[in-house]
Parts: sequence; structure tokens; C-alpha cells
Amino acid sequence: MVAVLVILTIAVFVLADAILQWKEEDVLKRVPAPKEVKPAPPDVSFAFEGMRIPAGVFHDRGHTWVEIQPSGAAHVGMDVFSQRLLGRLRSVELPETGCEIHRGEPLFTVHKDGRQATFLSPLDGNIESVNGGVAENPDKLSEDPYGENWFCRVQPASLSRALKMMTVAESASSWLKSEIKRFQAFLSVRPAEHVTLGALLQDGGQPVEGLLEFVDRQTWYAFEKKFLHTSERARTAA
Amino acid sequence: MHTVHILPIGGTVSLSLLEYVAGALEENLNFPCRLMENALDIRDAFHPARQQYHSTHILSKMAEMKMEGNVKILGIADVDLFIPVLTFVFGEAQIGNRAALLSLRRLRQSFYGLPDDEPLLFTRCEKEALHELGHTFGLLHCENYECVMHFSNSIEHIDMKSNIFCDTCAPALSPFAKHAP
Repeated sequence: MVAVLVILTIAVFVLADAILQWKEEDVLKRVPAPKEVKPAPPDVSFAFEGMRIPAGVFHDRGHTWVEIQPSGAAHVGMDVFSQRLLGRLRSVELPETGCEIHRGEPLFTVHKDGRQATFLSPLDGNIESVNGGVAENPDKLSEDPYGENWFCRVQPASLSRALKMMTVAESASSWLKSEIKRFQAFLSVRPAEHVTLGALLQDGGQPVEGLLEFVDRQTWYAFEKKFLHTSERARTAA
Repeated sequence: MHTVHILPIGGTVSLSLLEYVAGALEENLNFPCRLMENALDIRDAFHPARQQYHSTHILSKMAEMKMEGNVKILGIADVDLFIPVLTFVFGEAQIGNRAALLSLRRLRQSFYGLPDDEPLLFTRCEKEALHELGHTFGLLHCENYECVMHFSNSIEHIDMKSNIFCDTCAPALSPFAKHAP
């Protein structure tokens, strides 16, 4: 009798355990899978994301660059700062081969959707040749605005004097960083003019790549003046 | 005297948040506030490629709402906002006019992968509400980094600034308040 009771008790415990375990499994099964957390929406790319400049290239305050070739000639192009802000260009207008240029005078003009931006020459000298590849396919600039994608090849005069006014290597990168800050400040204080809403101001965000496509005419002109240092006179002369 | 109408937009804007903002505006600016119904349809402001809502588009809809008297309308949106030139905006407002808008999305800690923090969200929202309303009273961005009118392009900048209008900015608002301080 005792033996039967003991066996029965054990059997009851085993059974109860089995039921509990089965229930637990059931509960586990019924817990819904965790909801998939929706990732934050992808930001369009920040205009200056991963911006790099080649080490031996001189940068001028009007956002052109100069690279001295072993022959002594200089390649001149548009820097990554203006490339990122301008985005895709419709065309590039280059100077004529053989003409004489002076530092601070219009050198080349880029066109984008009915608007244009003129860049000033960082050097004195003569135009030895221009890069037809860039003129034919300005999209190449989005891949790399330096190196092969120069605009003009210049035979410079008084080179050392001009180079002293430019930045290179770490001084060029810190100057570009300060230009980015200056640009952000420039954008944050310029109210956008809206047809029906009037003047608007926004708080937040970073400039997007190719943003000059979206700005009003006044902001475009102000950008040319403040960042490319193109004067009214230079613009009409270009 | 101006009245501020607070309009919740999209998603779930909690009543406690709206009441907190209303209380903060009444206390800081001395403007009576009124809560409005979440009834603005913003579906057409959605930009599929950017997965965000065009802030100016929503602002236009708010500006079209019929209202009488000296009213400012402050939209508090639970959607991510953008304008074409910027990756996102915390808010946008008409300068010296009626409509102001702010987004809660990037004011939440969870947006940055952190646990939500309601008091922090409320404080941030209060600062942005004051900032955007400041624009509707003609104020531009202020260089003083502690002033609520300072421009913020990241959440750290919002946390850094105070909820106070600096001595240069404050006079722009006082003539409109219930009692001039």
C-alpha cells in the first residue's frame, strides 16, 4: 500500500512537471516575435560626408586648386567644397588656350540649370591647354574633382608669390573645415523666400549634396560673392 | 495680446506633452494657449525618396487655416521634417507672421538609439516651440549660443542652449505679451 502511494505520488509529481513544462513551452510559443524595429529613415547625404583632399594640392580662397607638375606647369581645378555644393553640372566653360591670365580674374565658369558660377584664377600665367575630358563629361567631377579632372593647365608666372597666398596639406584641410562652418552659418541666417508664405527660417539639419540647385537667386549670388569671391564686375566680365 | 493655438500633427502627440508646452509658453511668454484637434491631413507632404515630410508644405497648410484675431499657430508634428537644402529640420517658421512648426522625431532619445526620456523630450520641445514662435515675432537666429534663438543643427546644440530669450531678443516679444515685463 505504502509502495503504491509512493509510486503514485512520484507519478503525480512527474505528471505535474510535464504539464507545467508543456504550458511553459506553449506560453513561449505564443509570445509574439519582437516587432521589427523600423530603422531611422536614411538621411540624404550630408554635403561634406567623407570629404578628402589630396595632400600635395594647393587650395586658393576662391575654391580652386593648384597642383604643380614635374614640368613646372600647374593644373588648376575646382575644389571638393564647391563640387559638393554644386552637385551635377550641366556644362563647364573653359578659357582659350594661349591666353594670359591674372590672379583674381575670372578663369572658368560652371553652368547648372540656367545658373552659373565663375571661379577666379589663383595664378598669373598663360593657359597652356584645357581639359576637354571635363568639358565633355562634367559628371566625372562627382567622382573626383582633383587629379585627372583638372580644368586648365597653366604655365605660371611668379608662382612662389601666388602659392604663399594658398593653403596646402593640413592647413588646407583645416581651412576647408572652417569654410564648411562658415557655409553652415551663412545658410542658417538666410531666410528662404517663399511665394505665398514670405520669409521662412528653419532650425536644424546639415546641407545636402548639390544644395545650390534648390536655393533662390539671391542666395546663389551671395554664395558666389562670399565663397568664390566673384565680384559683380567679374561676373559680368565672365 | 496674442493667443497661441497648438496643433498636434500626425502620429501620436501625447496630451501630456501638449499641456506641458502650453504651460511653458504661458509661463515664459505670457501668451494664453489653446489646444487644437489633430486633424490636418499631411499625406501629400510626404516625400517617398527621402522618407520625410516637406516642412514648408505643411506650413502652407497651416497658414491657410482660418483663424480670427491675433493668433499664432504652432504645429507639433510627430513626423520627420525636411526642406530640400537640409538633411532634416527640427522646425520651420514664417518670419513675422503666423505659422510655426516643429518635429518631435529627432527630439526623442530613441531616435538616437537611446532609451526614451520624457522630461528631456519635453524640455527640448519647449525650446523648439519658443524658438519657432520667436521667428513668428520677427526674430532671426541669434549668435548667443545660450539664447533660445540660437541655430541648432544637431540635438546637442538644442541641449546646450537655454529656454530663455537673451537680452537682445527678448524685447521683440514683450510688446505682445499679456503684461509687459
